[in-house]
Amino acid sequence: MKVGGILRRFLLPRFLITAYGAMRYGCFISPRAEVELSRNLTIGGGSVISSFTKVKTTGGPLRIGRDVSISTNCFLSTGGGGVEIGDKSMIGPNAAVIGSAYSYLELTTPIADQALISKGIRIEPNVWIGAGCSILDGATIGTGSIITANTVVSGVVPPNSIVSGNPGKVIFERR
Amino acid sequence: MKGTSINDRLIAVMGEILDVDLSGIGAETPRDQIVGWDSLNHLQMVMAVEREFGVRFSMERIPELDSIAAVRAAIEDQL
Repeated sequence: MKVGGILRRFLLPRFLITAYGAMRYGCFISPRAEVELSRNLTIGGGSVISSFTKVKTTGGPLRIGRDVSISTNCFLSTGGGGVEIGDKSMIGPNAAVIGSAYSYLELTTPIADQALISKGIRIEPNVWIGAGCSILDGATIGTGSIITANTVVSGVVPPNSIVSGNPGKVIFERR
Repeated sequence: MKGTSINDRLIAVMGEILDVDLSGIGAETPRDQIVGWDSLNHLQMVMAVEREFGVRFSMERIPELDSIAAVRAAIEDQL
């Protein structure tokens, strides 16, 4: 991490990040959230990042749309493929959105020493992600979809689907 | 005869989704008294019934499917 990043992360008082978010983006970042400010981060007006949520943006672009709600104790991290969260989407408490994964092609090399890969995550507008969900690299969630609590998504979810389980499966099509 | 056939197929489909033997349960038994018939299984059951019988229920009708008899009536309305 660069010196500027270290200073921002450890020395910048949280209330200043809250004030910066309000002035720069018109959003609310809780003083108890940990959001890495960087050029990779874009937040739309009216969005909320609640307390104890950690947002890592050093790996790649994170675009959060307008009026997005990210509840408490979530974890968001980006990779080179980026993470996009559409307007008016909601993410429930304790959810994880992880935009990268380790390659595991080499059996004799420790996984931690292998490359990080990132296809990116796209959450389209008007998506509701329930508490405790894991949205993994490569996921695309169509607009109007609902991901039920504790579901794991790593593939493509068609628009207006209700998805449940691990691995997440479409259990219903909204109409 | 047609009604019996629908009933048997319906009980088989619903029983598979809810993981319950519905053959001994009355058709009018309310949904909340049938083990496993929660909100998520309800949606799965609706999709399975739609596939089995080639019907499609409206969003307004789906919450009203609160017993085996109600589901059967909704199917018969569309056949």
